Amino acid sequence: MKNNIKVNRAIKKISQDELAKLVGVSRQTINAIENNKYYPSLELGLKLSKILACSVNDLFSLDDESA
Amino acid sequence: MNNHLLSNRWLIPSGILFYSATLVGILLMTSVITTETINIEVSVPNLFHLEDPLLGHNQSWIKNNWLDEILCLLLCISGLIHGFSAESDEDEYANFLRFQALKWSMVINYTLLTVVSLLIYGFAFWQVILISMFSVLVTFIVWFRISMIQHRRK
Repeated sequence: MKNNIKVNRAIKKISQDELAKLVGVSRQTINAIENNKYYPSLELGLKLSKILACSVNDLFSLDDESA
Repeated sequence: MNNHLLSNRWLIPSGILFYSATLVGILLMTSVITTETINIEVSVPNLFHLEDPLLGHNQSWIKNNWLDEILCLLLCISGLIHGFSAESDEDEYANFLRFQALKWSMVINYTLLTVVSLLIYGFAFWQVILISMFSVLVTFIVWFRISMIQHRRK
């Protein structure tokens, strides 16, 4: 699974720390998600999409191996 | 999301008790200290007073040194509280790391127990069983602590 959190965060000009505070997790967790070391729960995914003002499909997508 | 963890205020006191009890347990197992060093002898009811050629506890009431019982209670209770108390920065990734630590401690301990059960026999195996009673909890906590330290450094 791939994600575009880093890109969407850059568009919104939000730092990892700010995004972490807005969704209620640690900065390290946002870093782990961005680096594909952790796949967030549906709840966190929905929170991220709300804060970054985009759909979940825009944030997360299946890569070639998973599809 | 309810993750059924205890409050963060339990983390440090339970940790102090757990690591202290683990240290005393290791010292006791390696005979650095013995049950004679700290003797807390109490009369206790012996519910299963079957023929016991090894320990000779055939009476309903026996005199027993409570040091190992106290250590066992301390290790189990403080270990469970320490392992399942919320971190100061608890979130779903910390919960994921906790689950990973629990998974790997189970895999490692039961793999070792399987191997050891084929290689160690007799009274020495009793020692192995004694260690394996607590090693799942100890491995889980140590693994999780290391994971959290690494996670916070990133």
